[in-house]
Amino acid sequence: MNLRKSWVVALKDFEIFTKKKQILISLLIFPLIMGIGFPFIIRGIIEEPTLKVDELIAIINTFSLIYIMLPSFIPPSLASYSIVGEKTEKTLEPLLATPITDDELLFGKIIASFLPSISISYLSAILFMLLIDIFTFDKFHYFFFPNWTMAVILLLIVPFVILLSVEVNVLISSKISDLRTASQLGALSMTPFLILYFTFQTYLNGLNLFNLFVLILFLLLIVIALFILMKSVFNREKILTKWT
Amino acid sequence: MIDVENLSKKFDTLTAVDDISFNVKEGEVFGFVGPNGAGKTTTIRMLAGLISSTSGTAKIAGYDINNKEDAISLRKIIGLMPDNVGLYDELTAFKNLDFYGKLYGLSNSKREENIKYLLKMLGIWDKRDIIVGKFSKGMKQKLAIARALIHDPEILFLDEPTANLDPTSAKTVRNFLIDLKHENKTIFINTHNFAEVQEICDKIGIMNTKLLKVSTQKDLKESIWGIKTVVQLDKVTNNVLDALDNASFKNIAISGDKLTFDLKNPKEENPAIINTIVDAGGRILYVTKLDPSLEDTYIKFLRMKIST
Repeated sequence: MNLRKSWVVALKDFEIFTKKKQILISLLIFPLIMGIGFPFIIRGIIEEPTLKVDELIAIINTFSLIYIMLPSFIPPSLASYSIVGEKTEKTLEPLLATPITDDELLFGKIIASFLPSISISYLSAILFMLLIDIFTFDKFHYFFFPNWTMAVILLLIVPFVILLSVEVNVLISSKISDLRTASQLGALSMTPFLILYFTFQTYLNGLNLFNLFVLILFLLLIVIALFILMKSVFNREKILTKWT
Repeated sequence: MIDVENLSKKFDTLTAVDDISFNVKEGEVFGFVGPNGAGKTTTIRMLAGLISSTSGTAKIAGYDINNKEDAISLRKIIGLMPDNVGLYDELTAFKNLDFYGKLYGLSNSKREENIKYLLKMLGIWDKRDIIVGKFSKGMKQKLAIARALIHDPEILFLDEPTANLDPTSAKTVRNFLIDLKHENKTIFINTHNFAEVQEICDKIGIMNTKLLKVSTQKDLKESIWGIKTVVQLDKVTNNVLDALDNASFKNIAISGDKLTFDLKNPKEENPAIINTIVDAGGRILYVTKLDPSLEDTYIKFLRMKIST
């Protein structure tokens, strides 16, 4: 596999995404609401005189855990465009006529959705942490962020969640022939991440290194399995001849 | 360069291409004509390695279109312009070509050189920094041709290259294709434009699911119309007609003062016809070979096929 070709495809997609207002808006709106909006909600709660420090920490952790789910909201708008968009805009046929393999193309599409999604997730998280620190410093007398919970979420969980979401959506995109259906199915694909979010909410205190290692290994295996599945179901001929 | 043997393609119960065989030599321009839905695009897609054949084989410069190991090598030596231009509207003309140049592994300098050459040849170099979404259909068509040529392929597959083009742009493209022909490129063109076929194709294939005929233009015309000489006289007289009859010229169509002769050996028969008319006192205004258009020939050919 020539990664350079995948990178060329990804760079082309980045440039197109930045020029499609609809994609940009759907990409930025929720992370910005989270990164800026949620800290202001917490700021409102802080002003409640009866609020104890423990309760405030629990509330902030609850909001922090949404960052497990948030990254799964971002890729659908990008990834569902990846194959269906190329097909509906009639650019797929000349692209498939070039010496690019299925692996290189699919990997390029994954990079094209993964990098913007993770960048936006991190940007949102940085804004969230920064504003929370500003708003809560008087209450805690220390900076609440960064902390281990958020580090685990952002550095270990978020990349996998995004990768999985991207793969599921590229997979949907290569099987579904119209952009709207691909986007709708893409939205449905977030359900497993909701389960992951509630699992973390429930068992946060029981999270230790071993559990975390098992979870990461599990996510890694799913990522690999999904890539293999993507490759096996990507059918150039069907995409070119059956989709109208 | 292109060797096709008993190639067929079925989509479920529909036979799109039925047992076609032909070959195209290096440097030849092959025009593929036929009605809509005749299987021309499916044939190009098979030959470009985009879809597999149901049966039969084809080799492009020695690469088997059905052999997965040949797929990448095959795509490196061909250039494809599909019937839909398929350009990225959000990118500039330059960036569209640059993207494809990178996928073909061209160096920075080679990409720049090729893009400049192609856009200049097609008259859109000054539009290189404009996003393609703002291009007219004709400009997009030219850019799609440039894209097919970005890696300087040995074989070019063009699906309706001058569709959507105004006459001047179509002429520019045709001249460009003639230049490519002089560079010994092998070109395979799907088209409905007979002026294009007449001007640039060495050989034509008439397709209607089956390949009905592969021939040079000259042979096709002669097989349909025969060889005909037209003699325009000042006045057709009985003397002239009697003299021709006596000289055994029997297959003569008379239209006003114009005589059309159906000939077998024009090199020998034409001087004899002229001498006979002149000796009989006829006054010849001009003599010409009947040269029906390729379009008329094609229509007559299809009608003959339908009636049989």
